[in-house]
Amino acid sequence: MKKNKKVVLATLPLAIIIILFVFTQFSVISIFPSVSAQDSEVRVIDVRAFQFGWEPEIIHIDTGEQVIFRIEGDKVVAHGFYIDGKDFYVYIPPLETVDVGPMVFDTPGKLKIRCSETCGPLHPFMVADIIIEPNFPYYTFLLSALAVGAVTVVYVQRGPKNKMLGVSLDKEVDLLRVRGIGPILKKALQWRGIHFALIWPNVVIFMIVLASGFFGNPTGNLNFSVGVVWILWLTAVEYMILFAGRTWCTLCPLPAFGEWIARRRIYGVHKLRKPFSLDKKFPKSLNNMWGSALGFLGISLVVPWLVTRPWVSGLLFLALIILGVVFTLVYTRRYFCRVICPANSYIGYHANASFYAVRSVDKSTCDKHIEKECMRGGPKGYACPWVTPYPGGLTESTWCGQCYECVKSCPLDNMSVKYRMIGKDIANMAVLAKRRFGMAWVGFIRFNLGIFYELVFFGSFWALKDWGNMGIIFGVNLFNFGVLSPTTSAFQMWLVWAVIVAGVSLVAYPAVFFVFTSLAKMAAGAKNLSTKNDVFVPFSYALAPYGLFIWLAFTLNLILVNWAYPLSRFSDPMGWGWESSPIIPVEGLKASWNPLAPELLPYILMPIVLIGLALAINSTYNIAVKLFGDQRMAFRSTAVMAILHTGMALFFAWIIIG
Amino acid sequence: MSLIDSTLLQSSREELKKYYWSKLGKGSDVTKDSKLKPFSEMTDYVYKAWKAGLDKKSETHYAGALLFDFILQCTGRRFTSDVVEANAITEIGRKMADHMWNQLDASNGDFSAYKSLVSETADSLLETKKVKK
Amino acid sequence: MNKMAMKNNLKNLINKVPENLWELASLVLLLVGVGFVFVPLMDGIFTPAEADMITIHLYQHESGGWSFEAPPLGQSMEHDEGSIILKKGELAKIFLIGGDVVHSFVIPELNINSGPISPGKTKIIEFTPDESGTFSIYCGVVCSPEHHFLVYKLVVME
Repeated sequence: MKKNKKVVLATLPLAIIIILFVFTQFSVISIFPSVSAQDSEVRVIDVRAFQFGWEPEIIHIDTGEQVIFRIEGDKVVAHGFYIDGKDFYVYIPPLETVDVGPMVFDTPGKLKIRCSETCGPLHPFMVADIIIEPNFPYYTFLLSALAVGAVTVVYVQRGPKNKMLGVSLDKEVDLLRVRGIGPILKKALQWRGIHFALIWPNVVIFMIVLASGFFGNPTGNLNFSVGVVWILWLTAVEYMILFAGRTWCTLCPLPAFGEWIARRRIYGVHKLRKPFSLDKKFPKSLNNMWGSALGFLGISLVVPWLVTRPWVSGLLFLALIILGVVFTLVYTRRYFCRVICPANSYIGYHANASFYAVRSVDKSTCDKHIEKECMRGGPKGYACPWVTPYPGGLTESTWCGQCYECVKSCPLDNMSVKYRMIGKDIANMAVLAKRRFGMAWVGFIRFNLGIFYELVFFGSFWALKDWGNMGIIFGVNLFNFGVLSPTTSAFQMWLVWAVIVAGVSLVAYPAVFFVFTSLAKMAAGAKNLSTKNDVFVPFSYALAPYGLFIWLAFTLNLILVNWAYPLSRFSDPMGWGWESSPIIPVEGLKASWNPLAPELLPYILMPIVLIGLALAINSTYNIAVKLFGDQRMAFRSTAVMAILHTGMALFFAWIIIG
Repeated sequence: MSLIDSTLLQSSREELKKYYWSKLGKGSDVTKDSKLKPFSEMTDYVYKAWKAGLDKKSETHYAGALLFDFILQCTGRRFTSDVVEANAITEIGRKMADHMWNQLDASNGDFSAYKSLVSETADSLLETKKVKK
Repeated sequence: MNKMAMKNNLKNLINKVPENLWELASLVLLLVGVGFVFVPLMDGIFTPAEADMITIHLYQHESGGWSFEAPPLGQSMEHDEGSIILKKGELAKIFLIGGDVVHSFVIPELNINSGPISPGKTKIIEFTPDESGTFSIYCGVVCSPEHHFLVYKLVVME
């Protein structure tokens, strides 16, 4: 009986997805008599296109109702009219009105109207909602979220020991010792040239980002610097985090130039260990997550510009490359990565919810070993550039940039790459995390921005986009960046955006989270612990998997709809009408915009978020068990936190299908 | 320059015998040079590091690691699974490097004195008697 | 230095060469990689236009009108007052590239209308002007708040 229980619980994530799909499939079968096509009157829906939205933002249509969309073109540019799941892209000339239809929507739910003709920088996010009533899927999504929350709470009530959704957290696979592929991977990671080999293609890509960002087409989706970076790279990094930890940091060229200069070597280990740098000691007070976290938040304050204007992207990356070189020439090790790079905050934070980790093979070997080449540097590898500070003793993935110097330098062959269940280290980290407010705030910022970006970029609320965009309709490269100088009213719009973004991530949501953790503490009856240090910060670590999965959903949305933009940019990076390029010197590979199954998007995104929800609740339980030491107290506090986590999932459901 | 303390010499000799020279076999390619290669590489490094004004503590540690790395190389290995071996070799390497460094400090980098110290130490390790002039 | 030491030094140097060679090769490769920043300069190679075509990029312009803007670098997107000069009776080939939003290329007096050109798409128009004189070139698709400014002139010589 016990064995069967284990098997059942191990399939919990799969069961969640299946339950959700079954529910929503039933919802497709409408239980209300639908109006037949011949009987109904054709309804004309007036729609106005403008830069960069539609009016009305939300349109309600009944299932089976015949509609014609009467689209009034913009006064200023041409647009295109496209609806998810339909096979037309209608050109809407400016100043003209075009009728599209009659058409019928058979499946209840939510579809998007999207613009199919590049009309300016915010074109990829020019979206309106069509809600096909009765919107059963919305209710089944809400029910599914509640179900997943409830089932996970019931699951943790049973007191699973050291498990995550049924999978033991003790199990791990040493990837470098797996039959067949293991030795090949090991040889690769121990080869000194691997670093350069992996980074070189990204040097090429970054150079093209700079060239296109400054001199290329000022419209984002026609430009490599925006089209490839903010659609393809952004998505790839999120999925890399889940499956391969901080692998982006292995490949990243930003600090590489500085590091090669300081080492005076690209490939080998310089015999004399005098770095070409000032080799200054980095101030301890600055050596934490805050710099990186605030950098990430800072980016979000200008994100509507960053992800649509090539010049802004080019400028950001030029600045980061320069900072990377300067920091390395002053401090030698990866302090640029640790403290400046905005991506470090989230890649490091969420790496703790990854399957992948760089760890020692046998801790006791490390304990007995005196010299510790991984930490000090040895003939075969440099001292850990990421200042982890001791690779052999790694118990969390936050600061390990996966440069594999330790794998190269250890003479006992005791450093390796492990594959294990998500969240193995979270409980241990969280319990020791009492004053790591920087980490907690990365969790809050990332979690909220993931949901917020889904709402802003793929939602239909034009006002939000307008505030962030500051009302400027032009694309920007080096030759016209003056258009970005905002007027007073534009600045006021931006202030609203900034207050919302910063307010929610820095203050509002953490405050709500704090309230919930106090309630959780009360429910657990843990009177002798301080909420702020002992419960609030540790419990925030549940957002490591949760936030990651929110971003997995958001970026999947991005890539499924807009995959054609990055792909076509490899053939035409500058947006100058090239059919081939130095990267893809073959003609005919330029893809046209063609969203992939967008009508199924909510059904794809919600299960991802629900897996995140289950992981969050289970992580909270694991943390609570370690915190309180008592299974009952842990369960009670988890149940309270589950309310908050499930609530956020309900909110996400509303965004994507409500 | 004063020679390395005889206890350290003795233990160094033993460790080298145990972990290195015994593994080299007795073929004709086992020359004095090949027996001393790790040691000479290490002493070369100590001089360079001293000359460059680097930090004594980290560089003497590194010198020990260097000695060990060369022993591994010269016995055809990339790794060892024997922590005791690793510890023993790096320790004697560090201690010898430490002594060399101190001598360099004392003599203010007298290269010829350093060379003769190295050569004397090598002979002592190999227990080859040098004919004194 | 005795013979043995010299031999050793030589041996070391020889052993070092492959390592130094790899470093050099990596450095060269790195410089090649950095060279990709000059991708814009490769417009001459990768643009689909042929040698005898006049290439025109169609961009909206923020402070008035729309302008032709042909790379390479260094040209500002100022209100362009230039003109195309053609010869009467000679075939003209114009390669149009959609810039940032939908534009079109219209010379009403010569009955030339390229039709809407989407951003990123290209079109070739060919015509033979049979009259000499000065003609106006307009954008036929509203493309910005300042769309109605005349920017280019077509001059046909005898």
